[in-house]
Amino acid sequence: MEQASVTALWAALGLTATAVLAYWAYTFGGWLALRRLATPGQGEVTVATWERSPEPLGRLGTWATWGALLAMVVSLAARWQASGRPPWANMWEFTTAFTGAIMLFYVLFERWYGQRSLGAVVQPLVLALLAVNVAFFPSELRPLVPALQSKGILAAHVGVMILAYAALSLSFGAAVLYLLQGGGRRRFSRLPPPDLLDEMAFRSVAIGFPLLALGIALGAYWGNTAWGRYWGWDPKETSALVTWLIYGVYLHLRGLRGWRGHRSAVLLVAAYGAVLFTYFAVNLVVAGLHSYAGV
Amino acid sequence: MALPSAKSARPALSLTGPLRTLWWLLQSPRWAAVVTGVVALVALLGVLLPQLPFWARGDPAAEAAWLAQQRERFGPAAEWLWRLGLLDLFHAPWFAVALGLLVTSTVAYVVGRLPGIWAGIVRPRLRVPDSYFDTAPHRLRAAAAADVDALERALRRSLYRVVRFPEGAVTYLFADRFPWAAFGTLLGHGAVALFVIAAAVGSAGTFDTALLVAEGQSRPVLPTVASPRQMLVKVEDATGRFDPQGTPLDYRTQLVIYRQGEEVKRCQVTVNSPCSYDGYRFYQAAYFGYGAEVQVRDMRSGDVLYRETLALEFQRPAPFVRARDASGNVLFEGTVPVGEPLRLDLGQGPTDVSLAYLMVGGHSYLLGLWQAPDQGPRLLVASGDPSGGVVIGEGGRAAAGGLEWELVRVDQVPAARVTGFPLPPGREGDSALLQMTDVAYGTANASEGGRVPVAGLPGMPTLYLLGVSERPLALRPGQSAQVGDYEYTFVGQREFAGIQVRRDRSDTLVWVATGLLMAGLLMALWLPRRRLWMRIGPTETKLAVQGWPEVGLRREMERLLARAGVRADSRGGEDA
Ligand code: HEM
Repeated sequence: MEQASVTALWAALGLTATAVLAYWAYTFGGWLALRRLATPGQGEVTVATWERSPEPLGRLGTWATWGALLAMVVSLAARWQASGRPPWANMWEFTTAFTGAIMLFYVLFERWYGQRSLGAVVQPLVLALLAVNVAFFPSELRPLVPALQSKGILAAHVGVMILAYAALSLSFGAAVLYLLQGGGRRRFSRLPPPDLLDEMAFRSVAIGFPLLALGIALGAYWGNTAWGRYWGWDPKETSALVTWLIYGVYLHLRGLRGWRGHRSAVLLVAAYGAVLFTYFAVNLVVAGLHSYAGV
Repeated sequence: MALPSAKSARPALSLTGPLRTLWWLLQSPRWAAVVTGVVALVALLGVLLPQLPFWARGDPAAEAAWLAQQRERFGPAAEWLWRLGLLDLFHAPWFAVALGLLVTSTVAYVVGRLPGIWAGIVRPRLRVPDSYFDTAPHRLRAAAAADVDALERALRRSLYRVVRFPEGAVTYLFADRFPWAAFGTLLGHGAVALFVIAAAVGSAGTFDTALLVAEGQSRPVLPTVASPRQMLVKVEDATGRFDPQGTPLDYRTQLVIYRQGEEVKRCQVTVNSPCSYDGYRFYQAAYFGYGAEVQVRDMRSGDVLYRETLALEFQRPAPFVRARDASGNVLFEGTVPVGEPLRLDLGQGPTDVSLAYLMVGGHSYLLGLWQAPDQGPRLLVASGDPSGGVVIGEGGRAAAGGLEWELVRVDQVPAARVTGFPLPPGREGDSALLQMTDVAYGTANASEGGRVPVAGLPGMPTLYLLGVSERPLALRPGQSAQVGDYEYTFVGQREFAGIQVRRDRSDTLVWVATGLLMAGLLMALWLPRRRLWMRIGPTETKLAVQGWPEVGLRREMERLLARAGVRADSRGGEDA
């Protein structure tokens, strides 16, 4: 079962790579698209023949995405079966679950908005995460230290955090497309109009922000049962709070004159930096520093 | 023109001048973004810079030691970081000020918005001047009359309430949906303030203590011994389980709590599930498996002089040796605890050697263990005169006294020097060195002293008492040995549990805040509240709309108009 889970993850990696190629070809078309990116947008769009969407490519992307999602679900289910606990207890499992959750939100958004071009940003992100996962994080099952064994609450906390970060990943994708469109203009007819991208970004924050709040609260609850304190300002929990606050700043600013559109999109890209920082850097860099400091 | 929004419906406050400006500033989303951003930035610094660990707080020596480490890392900058409070950010006064500002502003926002939101629900502004249809931030126009009945049906289906005002050829219409959802924003913001307040309240007046209790023993919880609320915690059984690599799998403790001599609670605590009694929580905080219960009896009177569970909290090296006779039969195999190091000269200059005597096949052998500089451990084996002995390195073999000796490895065995340990009358000193071999760390039946299912362990633990007699006493669980007038008994191996006791704080406040926050966020973000006004003339339909969340308003309104049979102009007004 443990091996099945690793094999399924490799399948997911292959399918995601396929999805990346398909969505890129679908969205950007080719060299002309790159040229167009290099010229400043003019406000009006001329729809050249190459800008018509190659439907089969888009469908390929969608199918590959569903396939990858399925493979991730299989991987996680096999893992769960093998370990007898929810499969998000170490970096490998956590990242697998994270990519699976991004995929899940992505397919929902694709259906919801009927827009495939978001895949051109989100799929490469998933591919990169998967690549980091297979390259750096050991996949073998090890027993958990007692502090990490918990029926329910800890698993719920981590699961909710994963969902929150996954939802926020879509806001990153939408913000990147918004900026590609040239900040409120419409450089590419194949990309969604800017106001739709703004809406997609907002909706994913509207999902991710409450989930993050819930995840942090569950983490605090667990901290209280495990260590007898709700909040200890440790780097991981503080970093999650900082991330939440940054999205709070976005929610306040996005409606203001001067902050609509372009600046909000920049803020969302930066905020996603905080997500990735919390996710990776705190474990791999900061925690190391702190343990070096003798904690 | 003035928006017919909640703002204009707000009753005028009797604040004037700068105070009024401040009041408005505190409630503005721009200010909110600044305050929230500042708190986020400061907290980020707290993630990036090392922070004074909790165990050093309030302990000047530990604090100084920690600070010295930071000086090594940051050089002279450490001094400045420390003075500015950046190395203990979350306890710095200015961090409290920043949080205070956040709370004040959110409270100002909640208080300031409440009347307007209330007015918007109970007396919404039903009519707006015609000119508003041409200036509203979100407006649409269609060059045809909408079907008012179809429009109303469509609106009601989308859960709006609708009011019509027919005026001759023109119909005015007001519709709103989920006006009460605006309370969501108040709930959410109130919850943010409540969190900070709950934390401040909770951190004042906490009780927290840590007890290390051996199996079978009990400890008082409160510092005032005679307090009527005093409780006694008794550890009946402490368990730690480990896998063969030594990774801990599980810690648990069977507890009994007594008050005024009565058993009031009996429960099991594990790492993630504490036990509560009368507002106090008992957490599994630590586990220690190397304890030995020892009893000393004076045989003359039969009195028990001493009965303690001792924590063997240090580790001492002990050789694991094997001795074979000429035909290769193993006569001895095991760990031999050695005494405190003595300075001896074994022909290679003075060395700190730890000695032990070992009886094999009726002969006594002297073993001496020491660490040769840069060469690892060395074992001397001699029968009789030490100078005639042989020296073997780890893994090496040599013949001495008719046997072949092998130093298999050097183990670390749990040990403690116990002062005040009763020695037989006539013997000098006031302490003994205790060591335990063949000891399983953390198994369900280690405490029973029984055979433990751990690979490589031959059997039951053995307790060695050094300093009590000429030769060390080696005792199995339950065994006794008499030295002079005293009888020494190794009652059994015992485990210790570290139990942390804390007073339950105002948990309720935290959970109320969490509930409010979730409800508020979901209401504010997922119940699209809308307020719209329409003017339907014979040849023209105009619409102005306000709403939060302010997303996709235009497309939503276009769909609405389409259901009433009209198409919005492509440039009907600004969009969200
Ligand atoms: C510092 C004091 C604060 C003030 C004065 C304030 C004020 C406001 C205002 C005026 C809005 C409406 C924005 C709009 O119309 O687009 C808003 C929305 C929002 N604020 Fe705050 N806010 C504060 C603190 C916070 C904090 C600390 C958070 C949590 C991170 C937060 C979370 C939100 C959220 C999620 C929204 C959007 C949903 C809603 O309307 O409730 N606010 N805030």
